[in-house]
Amino acid sequence: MPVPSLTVRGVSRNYEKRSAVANATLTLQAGRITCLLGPSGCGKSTLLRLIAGLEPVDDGEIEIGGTLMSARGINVPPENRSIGLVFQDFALFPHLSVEDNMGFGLKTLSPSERQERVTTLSAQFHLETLAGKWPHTLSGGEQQRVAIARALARSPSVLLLDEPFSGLDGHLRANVRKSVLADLRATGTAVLIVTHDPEEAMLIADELALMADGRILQTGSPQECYLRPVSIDAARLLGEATVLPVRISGGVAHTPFGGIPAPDMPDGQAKAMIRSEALRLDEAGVLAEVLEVRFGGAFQIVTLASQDVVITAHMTGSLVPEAGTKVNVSLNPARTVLYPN
Amino acid sequence: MALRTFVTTLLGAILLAGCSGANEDTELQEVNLYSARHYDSDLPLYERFTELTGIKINRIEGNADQLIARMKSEGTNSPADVLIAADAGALWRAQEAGLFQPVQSETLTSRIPANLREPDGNWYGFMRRARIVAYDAAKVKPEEIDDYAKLAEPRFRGKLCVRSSDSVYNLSLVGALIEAWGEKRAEQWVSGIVANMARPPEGGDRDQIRAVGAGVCEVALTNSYYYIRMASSDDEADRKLTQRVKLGFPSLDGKGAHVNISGGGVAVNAPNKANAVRLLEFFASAEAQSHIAAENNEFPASPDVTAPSPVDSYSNFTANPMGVAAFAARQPEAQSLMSAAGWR
Amino acid sequence: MAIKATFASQRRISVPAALAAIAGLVALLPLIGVVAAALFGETADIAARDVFRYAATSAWLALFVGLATAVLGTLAAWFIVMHRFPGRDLFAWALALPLAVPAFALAYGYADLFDVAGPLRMSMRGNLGFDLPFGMRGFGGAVFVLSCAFYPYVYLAMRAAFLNQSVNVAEAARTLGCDGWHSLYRVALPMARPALAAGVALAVMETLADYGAVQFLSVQTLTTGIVRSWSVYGSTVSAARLALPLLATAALLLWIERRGRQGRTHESGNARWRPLDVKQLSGSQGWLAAAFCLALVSAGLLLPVGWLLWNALETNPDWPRLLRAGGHSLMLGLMGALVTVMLATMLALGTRRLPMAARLASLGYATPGAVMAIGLLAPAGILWNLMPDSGYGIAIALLVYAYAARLMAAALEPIDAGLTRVTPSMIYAARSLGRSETSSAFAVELPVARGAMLTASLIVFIDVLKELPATLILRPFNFDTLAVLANNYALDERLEQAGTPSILIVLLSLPAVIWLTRKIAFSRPGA
Repeated sequence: MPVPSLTVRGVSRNYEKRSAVANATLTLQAGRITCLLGPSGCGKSTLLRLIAGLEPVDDGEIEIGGTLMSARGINVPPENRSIGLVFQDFALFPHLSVEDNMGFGLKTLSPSERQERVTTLSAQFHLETLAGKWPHTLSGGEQQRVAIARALARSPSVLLLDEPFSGLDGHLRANVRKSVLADLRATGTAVLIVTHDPEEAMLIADELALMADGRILQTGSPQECYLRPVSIDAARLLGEATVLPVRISGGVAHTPFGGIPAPDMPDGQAKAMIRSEALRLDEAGVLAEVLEVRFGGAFQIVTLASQDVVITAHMTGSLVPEAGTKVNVSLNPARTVLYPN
Repeated sequence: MALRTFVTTLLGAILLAGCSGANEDTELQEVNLYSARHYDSDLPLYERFTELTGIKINRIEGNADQLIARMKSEGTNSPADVLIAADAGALWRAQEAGLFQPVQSETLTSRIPANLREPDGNWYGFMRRARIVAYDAAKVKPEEIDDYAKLAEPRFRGKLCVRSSDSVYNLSLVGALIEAWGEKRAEQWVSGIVANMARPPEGGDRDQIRAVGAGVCEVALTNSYYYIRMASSDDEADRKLTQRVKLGFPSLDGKGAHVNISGGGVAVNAPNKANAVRLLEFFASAEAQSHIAAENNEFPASPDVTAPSPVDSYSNFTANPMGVAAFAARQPEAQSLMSAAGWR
Repeated sequence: MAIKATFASQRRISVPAALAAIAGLVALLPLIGVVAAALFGETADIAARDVFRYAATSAWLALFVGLATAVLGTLAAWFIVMHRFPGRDLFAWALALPLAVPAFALAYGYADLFDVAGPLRMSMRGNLGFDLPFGMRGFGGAVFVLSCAFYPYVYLAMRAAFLNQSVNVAEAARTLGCDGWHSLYRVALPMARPALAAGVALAVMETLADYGAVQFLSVQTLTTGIVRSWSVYGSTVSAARLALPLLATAALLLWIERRGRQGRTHESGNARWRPLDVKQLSGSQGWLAAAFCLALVSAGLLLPVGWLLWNALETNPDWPRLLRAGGHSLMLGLMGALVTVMLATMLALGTRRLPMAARLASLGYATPGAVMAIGLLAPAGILWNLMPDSGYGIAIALLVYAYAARLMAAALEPIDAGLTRVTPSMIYAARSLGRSETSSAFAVELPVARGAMLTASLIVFIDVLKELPATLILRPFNFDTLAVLANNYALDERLEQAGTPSILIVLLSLPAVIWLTRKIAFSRPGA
């Protein structure tokens, strides 16, 4: 295994009494995109700032390209870290043209070398036509490309992006994201993207890191994190989830909406995390009452009740239940996770 | 690149300024004058001094007390040779601060009457200015204002114009009254003045004279030269006004009108002491006194100097012989007394 | 949230912070001198009753001038930015012109014009048989004159603020049925509150520090007490003590002003700018707006300066002396602007790290000139004693230093505002691109603030031309400025002669004022 581009080991950061980041551990590999996902205020921006060297760590270590950058009493300043930073507001320098923004970090190169590098980057990020323009005349997507190209100019080991897509308009967003990510992957840099949008995170990430209350709850592939979250908190970060108390007996967990296999769990009380798409119409399932049906575009939002327990499910398919009727449903075990109490 | 051009221009200006400053001729005889007189008409006088003696005058003008404070800060390195002011009080405060050195000069003692100079020779008065009254000749008889005491009488209730109490000329006048009458009687007089005011104190001396002309009041306290200047002004309105408003010379205890001075002394650390004394002697000369009298309408200090026109027609009054140093020292007392009585 | 942690947490002494500390100390030295002077020495026995009266007058004056400048300046800016009416383009810069007129010159002009024995009222009484029921000498007159002199501070600040407000907000307000006057006081005004606070703070500080104008108008404020204790009692100690409440008030004002600014959000870099939706005022409305602007320009410039000019025409000015003085004024103005802006920039760059230093350094603006002189004489004394034979150069250096200490706030405000265009993330981006803290200050913050630095130098330049007390006390031998000459003539009650130097000050400032207002007009991004 090659040396990781970035290693964060047991890092903590406290503000006065509040702990912003607690014992966080994270590894980034070159050429892979990692998404740091968490709700606002969970400490993900702080972790980004710690990695960038904008703040010192109180505990733990950060290594970039195998070199120790942060530890207690050690804080290599951002300019000596080999990182690239892209901000939500893109932070383009308003007094410099697009070209000069991109060349800003290349002070040590000769003018011709600098020009060459800028030209390469322009081609890579499709900015050729914008070279002489001023930042405030660009669209949001264009500004972002410039910001990314600028951050990559010095070929950093790690590229850090803070909510890079949240400033973009809805319909543009998907297109921009797709093309930018393709260009990013092509550079082979280790990329860390901070976001609070789970769908976005799962779409773009090779690796996910789930964060809440200053802790990293889970790291892994999007599928792994979505389908096998290590805790209910982790599960909730990635999508809607209903948690029901269940009784386990004989390797089966019994819920009001049917049983799920629970091969390795002892008998007794437990909790079931049920994704909204886990419920499906099933002739062999249990009977549930349809309280409400709403049209959700690609799916129907169906509110069901069984044994006085109410649950909301996303259902697809041509068969649409009607409100007031009763239907047979069962749970898809692949979309349900059991946790001991 | 507007900013760059701007900065370049500026640096150029600074360099130029530095060069012109460094370019001083050290061979030249100089005398450094700190002047609290701020009259244009003094400038030709300085030129005349240079013409006569070959000594160049460097001057800084300012408020007397700021000049005093500056001399204090400059300490023993002060370049000041001579300090002149248009009020005895300021000279007294400079003396109190230890900024003068006594000067003995035959010329000065013979030319300046004893009551117009500081007894030890710390400072000398060259010009006199009387603090007297302008009155509405149609409403006021001259004998009604022939004594300062009469101004405070009920006869003038609501009919008197004065400027504010911090005018040095008012302070010197009240200082003289304290000196002559004692604090108690001076206080009564001030209260009478406050009761007689036609309006709250406002404006300068010229405004008081004009207020008499405009019928706002019948009598106003003023310095002599402001009136004389108006009477001989190019402005027709001013001249017309002085036909109705006359100048009266009240007396203090029958000994004559209150007289203040313009004067000066030699700085304690004067680097050019000899030149400084020569400058004082020049100010005491008949030529200088005549010049100032003609230009600024003050009265000469030396009895042998005949005042030129138009000052001559006002100069045959009796001046109170009180020593200027005596009332100068009483200015702070006067201010407290006037403030307490409500003279703003 | 995340922005709160600052570079200071890195426990390294940064170069910008050190520079800011130096600049702050330099600016504060005279004030430290004032406080020191207030603590040690003999005091004058000024009656407490009088001090109370002075303080009350100062407070009322500040209140009324603050209110009047706020209303006049805001209305003028609102008309100019959001409406179209006859003469608007001319008024846009003409409204700022009173900035070029020293307050004491306005006072000379008005006091003389409306004097009870002046030609105007004399002829009214003679020919019309009635008199004006008011004069300019008195409290009301002082409020009027100072408001005329200082409303441009509010006008300029508010104009910039209105120009930079987003069209979206204005449009949102209109869809909510908020139009015309309503959108002024319900939307535009609340959004521009920091600018209003900044403009009014400058006007109030100027009012508190004024001596020349109020003295001429026979209004006795704390500065009267200060001058009395110095000139009559010879006690600089009492003078300094009387200045302490003024300094405290100024500190409070600055604190309020800074606090008001904390809620201000950065204009985001990708906001789209569209032309402002300017409302055409029709017929009588348009003429009313034009009349309002004309009245302001007349009151602040045309009437008093015209009167001074009319009187000056009768005199025979000493042109060589006036031109020399004009040259001196110009030189001091340029040097003062350069040095003050340099120090203010050092301070502003360090402000993120040292907010207190910046706040305190602004206090000089509210310090009466006489008190500043007391404070300045302390450092000056050290210099004079260290360097005997110190001549012209030292005196000029001291003067320029005095201007910097006195006018720091005027330069700091616009530069600080200009630097808010630099978001924290821009600095972080520069750092991650290999620039040190110092290098990113020079490569990003300075160039972005360049326009603001020019604005600041223009304001300081204009202020230096008008400055009087420090110039009077610190200038070298044989050195007059236009303000000094104007003051000399006024002291000697030769008002008609005071007119020419006053008008020359206005003429010298004019290009700067016009440049300044044009800069603001083009400040709108994408304009």
